[in-house]
Amino acid sequence: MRIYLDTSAYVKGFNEEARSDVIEDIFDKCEQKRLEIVTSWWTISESIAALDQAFRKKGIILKPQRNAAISSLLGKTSDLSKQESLILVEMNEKIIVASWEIIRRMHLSADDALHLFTAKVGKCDLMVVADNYFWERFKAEPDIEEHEDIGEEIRFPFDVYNILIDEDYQLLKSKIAAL
Amino acid sequence: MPYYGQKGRSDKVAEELAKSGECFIVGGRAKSLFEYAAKAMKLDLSSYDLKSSRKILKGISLADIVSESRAAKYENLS
Repeated sequence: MRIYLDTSAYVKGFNEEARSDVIEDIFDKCEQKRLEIVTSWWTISESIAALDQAFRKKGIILKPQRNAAISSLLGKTSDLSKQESLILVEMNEKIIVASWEIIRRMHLSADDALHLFTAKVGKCDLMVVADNYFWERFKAEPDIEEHEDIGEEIRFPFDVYNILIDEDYQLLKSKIAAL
Repeated sequence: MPYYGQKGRSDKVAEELAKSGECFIVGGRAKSLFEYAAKAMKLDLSSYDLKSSRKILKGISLADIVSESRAAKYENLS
């Protein structure tokens, strides 16, 4: 099974926060080679930015703590990637241009559209997010006018779980436990 | 929750990229990129301690920080 982790889900693997247990489970199963994690290089950038904000804007961690956390982020990602159970997808011009279509049709942010399209490229079976803003846009009815302009709809042949929703969290938890 | 629409143009691009694997980075290539990044940021990846950094960050929601940054983008869009 291939699971795409969006940044809001991926960062939970490096922290003890609400519902991070299910992401830890995913990382554990990944280490045991029972599943593959797919994510974008952009995830690493967004994760570093989140750690930096925790230090600079919010002042809740100190600089050495931020650096230690970045080392863990890079080190763990590198280790999983080295054992080929984590696939990082680099952003090239084809991915960026294809994501513009998603922005127009679904009115997602550039980041969200990139993640969504990258999950498609990675042939993922499911995508995990912890972000209600993304979720609201994703669930919204597609923009009919844009469909008329551009043509056919876009297909996302995978399930998306927002672990901030109780039902999705429970479902994902049992799915991962069964692997 | 599943979402199935009809086949669109970007599907073709996704199929091609998945087939060629040109943008997938795993194994040694990923390792050398991370080593390069660590050197540039003067970090030591060989001695990272995930358990310890999880403890340091306990109580901080990094997911909320990511989500808040994106929320700002959506609020500007609305």
